[in-house]
Amino acid sequence: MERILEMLKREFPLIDFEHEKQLMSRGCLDSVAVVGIIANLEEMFDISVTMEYIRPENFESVEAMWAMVEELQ
Amino acid sequence: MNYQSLGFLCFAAVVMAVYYTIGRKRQTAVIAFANLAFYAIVDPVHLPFLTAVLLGSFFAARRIGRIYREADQKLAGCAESAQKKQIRAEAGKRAKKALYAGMAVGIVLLAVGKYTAFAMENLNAVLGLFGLPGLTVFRMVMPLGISFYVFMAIGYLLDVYWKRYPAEDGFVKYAAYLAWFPHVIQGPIDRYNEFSAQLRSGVPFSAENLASGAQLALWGFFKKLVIADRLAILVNAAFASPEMFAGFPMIASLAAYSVQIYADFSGCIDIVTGVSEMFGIHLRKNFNHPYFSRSMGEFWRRWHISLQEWFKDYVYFPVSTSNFVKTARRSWMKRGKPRAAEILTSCFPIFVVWLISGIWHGAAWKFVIWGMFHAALLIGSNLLEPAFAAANRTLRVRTSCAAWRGWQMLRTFALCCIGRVFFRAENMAAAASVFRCMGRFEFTLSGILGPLAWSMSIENIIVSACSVLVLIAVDAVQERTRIRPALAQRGIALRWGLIYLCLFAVLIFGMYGKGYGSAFIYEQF
Repeated sequence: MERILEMLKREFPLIDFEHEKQLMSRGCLDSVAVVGIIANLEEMFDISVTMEYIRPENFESVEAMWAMVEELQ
Repeated sequence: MNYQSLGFLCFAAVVMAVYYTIGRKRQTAVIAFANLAFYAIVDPVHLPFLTAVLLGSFFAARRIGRIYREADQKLAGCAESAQKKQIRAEAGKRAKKALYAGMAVGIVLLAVGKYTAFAMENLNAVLGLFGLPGLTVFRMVMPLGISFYVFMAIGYLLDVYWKRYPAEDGFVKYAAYLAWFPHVIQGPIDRYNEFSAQLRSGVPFSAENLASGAQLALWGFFKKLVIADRLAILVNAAFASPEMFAGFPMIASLAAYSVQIYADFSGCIDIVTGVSEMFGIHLRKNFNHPYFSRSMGEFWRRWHISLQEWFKDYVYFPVSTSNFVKTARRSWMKRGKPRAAEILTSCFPIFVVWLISGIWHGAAWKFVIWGMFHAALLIGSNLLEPAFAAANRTLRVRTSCAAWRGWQMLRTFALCCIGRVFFRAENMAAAASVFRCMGRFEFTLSGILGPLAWSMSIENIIVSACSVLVLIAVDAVQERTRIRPALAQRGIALRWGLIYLCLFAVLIFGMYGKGYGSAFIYEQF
């Protein structure tokens, strides 16, 4: 999860990923940002994020993203 | 019987009376029957189109659901991971076939119903290049609402295929959703899971829903009959003879068109959302005061929201995560060009979305150009965002001040108006003529006011100006608060005073009756 947090902080330095738990609901991340995150996650963990997993709840927080990655691994 | 007619209100009232008296268990059946009856009245010739899409998507989704259930049963009794993988792969393949079959029904009928003449005209143009004789162009009247209900059916199929929710087993429940008579012609493009959840245990009668829905519908009538149809007088005259509207009058007419299309489309959505609320059914939000947007990206998150979200979920994400984009991205990364890879990942899907959005809006090249215009704006603003931010820092622009925000809104509105030239003009030649006339200024009083006075009476100008000011004021209030719940908390005198004011404005200033009014603009899409 630390690796995901590092990547997010690097890509979006203005967002407080440690405390924000509603990244999608509050509009912190838009669709372009989600696509960028997916591309990074696929590269970092050698996974393929399929359409079944592209749901707002999987990108609401770092924990949710990590849970998705674990499931896909 | 379109949505602003008395016939529609009478039809809705009769259905509502049966809906609330027949018992909660039968409400879904009442809706399904009313939906088909409504479509049979408004467009009987094309009822088979709607029926085919209904049946095609329903049975395809049910098949996908059955394939997944069978696979789950097999997986439950299987321990080996290799075997599990094989079961999943096989189920995926079979489900994909069913998905394609279901989608093909909608796409083929949409292509036949909407694009036959366009395709034949283009084919004839190509044949003409080789000196070959052209084919006789077959023109058919487009089935009402086909672009909307086909998109809803495709969305439902993809959701089931992606396991977002299970397929519906009851045809009546599915028919109640897809053909829901208030949204079947112009949207909003609702989602099956959200819609059906509201009907699951039946809807009890609620005076609150009835009052709130009626208020929203009344506001919709005001927007359509008082604002949109009156502004149409000026807009129609300007686009019919643009040479008469050189310079400022053309720019004013274009701004009027932007307000007209907003009042027309959001007015219709308010009517259908209001009527649905009276049935206790809440539809998706379709507008969020788009002309207060400070960028084109924001504008498209506030305008026709249900369509933009449809494109995001069913086109943008699938294209972004497609093998083509992934492979191209990896290839650029390997070549040591991460910026190029990033641009491809973010821009190519936007281009595809706007190409499809353009074609979806109409079978003509002008709509493709309109789509490409917006794709260019969005891609350009994405790529140049760091440069704009740097320029603002260098020039010490106070981006939080009201003047800067106002400038951003004006700039967004102007860009929107430019795109709308392609939208409104008959064809590309007419659009070019409008652009030429916009640049020919006449700095005389008669040159500026003459065309406006010639096309509209002074009464029409006053009513239009006042009603547009009311629209801006209401939208500005709604930017800060939800107006209907706030109104419900106020005293009876203010509440009923405003309702009567709106009602009498519609009755006195509305453009209705024989020889007046026009169909909704989005009906043609």
